[in-house]
Amino acid sequence: MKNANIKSMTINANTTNNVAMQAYKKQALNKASEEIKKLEEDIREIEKN
Amino acid sequence: MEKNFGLRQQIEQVDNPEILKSTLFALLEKIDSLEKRLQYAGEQSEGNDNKIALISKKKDKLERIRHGLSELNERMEKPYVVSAELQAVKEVLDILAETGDCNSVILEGEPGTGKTQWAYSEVGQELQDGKDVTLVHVRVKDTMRAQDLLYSIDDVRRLSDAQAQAQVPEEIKNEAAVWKQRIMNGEIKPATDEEYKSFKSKMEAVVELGETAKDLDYINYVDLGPLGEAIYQSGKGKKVYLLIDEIEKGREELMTGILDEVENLTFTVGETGTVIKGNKKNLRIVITTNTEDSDKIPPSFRRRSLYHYIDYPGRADMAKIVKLNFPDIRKELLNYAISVFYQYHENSEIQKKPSTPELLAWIRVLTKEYDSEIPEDVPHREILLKYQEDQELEIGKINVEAEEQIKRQESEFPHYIHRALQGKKVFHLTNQLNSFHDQNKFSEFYAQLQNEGINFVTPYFEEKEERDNYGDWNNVQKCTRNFQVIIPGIEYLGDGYYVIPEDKIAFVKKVIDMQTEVLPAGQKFITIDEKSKNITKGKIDVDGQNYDACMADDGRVVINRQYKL
Repeated sequence: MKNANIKSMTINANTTNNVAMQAYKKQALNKASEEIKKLEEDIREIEKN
Repeated sequence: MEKNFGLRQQIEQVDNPEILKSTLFALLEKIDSLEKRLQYAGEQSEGNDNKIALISKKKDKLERIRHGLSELNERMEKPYVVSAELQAVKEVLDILAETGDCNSVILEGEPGTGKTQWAYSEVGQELQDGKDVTLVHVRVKDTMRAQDLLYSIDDVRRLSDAQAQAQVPEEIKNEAAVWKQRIMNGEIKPATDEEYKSFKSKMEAVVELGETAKDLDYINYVDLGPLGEAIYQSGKGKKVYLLIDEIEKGREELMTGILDEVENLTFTVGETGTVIKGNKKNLRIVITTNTEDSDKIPPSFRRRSLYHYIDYPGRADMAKIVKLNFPDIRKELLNYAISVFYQYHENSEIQKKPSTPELLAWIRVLTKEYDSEIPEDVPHREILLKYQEDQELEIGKINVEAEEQIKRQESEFPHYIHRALQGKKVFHLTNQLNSFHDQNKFSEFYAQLQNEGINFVTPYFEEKEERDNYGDWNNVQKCTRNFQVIIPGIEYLGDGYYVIPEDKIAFVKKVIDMQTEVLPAGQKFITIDEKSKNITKGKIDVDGQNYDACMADDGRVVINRQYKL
């Protein structure tokens, strides 16, 4: 590999309004809330028994 | 409990970051309340092993979701300074993963060096670049088993669903209810009980026969663990970063247990016979470990991974990190904080060294309280130091004008490069001066120096035995003291380099072979030989000729040009 001129670099500053990031967060929240819903049902089941 | 009402609809409709944030907090609250309920249920079912195991499984899952959410919120958007070395490791990893050779890297380093943060920032960066990636974060615990990381089967849930399914024959429904009760009461172990297994296969037959009962297919009850999830997603073509955090906390059995899956990215769900295959190209595995316990990682694991040690950031990098987090911080306060922090960090008497997050928290408080002056002593030690003895330690002088010093301390360039960058005229005297066989060439030159009353020392040679390329021992003349000329106004920089003012050049003109030249920023390298935090060395092309070049951090390039008489 030709080692291109790599420098220490900064990534990821000020991405708060980034569309892709928001979409990812949304997706993660969706998934989490679904899993939590499932878990709540399971917990109810446990409590019943 | 009603807080969560309509949450999903909300998430789907709204893109506003603020609302996403409040949704996240609502979910975290929900998790809290569920955890309390589980805690209570656990206390109620003492003695029932099955139920307790079930509860602890659910607890783990909640915990996982909680961490996922809170870290997502905190970490992904944080600025991060990637060292050149780590950046290079990442590039190597990308190349090796593309060919399927290796897709994991072990990151070792002190707490607070940003091992975990790196994975988050990389994912954040890729998202920012418009790529579709997922991050799966595993925090290793000592109770974790390899199986937990791959998958588990939710028997109880499946039995409940069977009861509720209209298509399932009444007889099976009733039996399912009985089995569920027995599992919940801890009478049988679902994984080993033979009778239960035979019921399971009976139910399987029903599921297979009735098209309508397909929802009960086992695959719907496979709960993929983090490693399983990562393998599954990568197989579906999605890029996944799997972060296995603090692996040294796991038992050795855990590490050797997942070795095969990590290497081959394939596992079988035993109950269903489904083979889940991943794709190395899409999966990057980042394994982090603390320095103290890193020897717990078995060599077999190391063999399959890249390895990178993350150095604790030096003062200059730390200043960069602080500035990124507090863009408006005053220079004096920054220097003060860094100076204090490193005095503690480098003090060997300290029992618990402060680390980066603590420094940032401390600075957050300082920026609020000191908007024009600099603290005289060290306020708020409670943030930095966690032992009474540590807090009582006196530290030395606090240096507020640290910036220049930082640069000098951090630098690894030879001295002559600095002098050249400072605008001094730097020359190099030919290395032949220190060669035993060329000495007779210079005897006239030495005489000239002598006659002009200039101080100098000729090189000194010692005879030494040395093995040559053929393995034979030979006597060679080793130069143990270099030629050196001592003239007021001429500065010796080592390795034959001198700062020589214009009016003194005449004395040594004959033996100068190179002159150092500083080129403006923006030079293109042809090759790079060495690259680290502060140093970039390689070759550049000037007027059709190749020169060895060093680049300063402001982009200026230093080369040695042939000296023309």
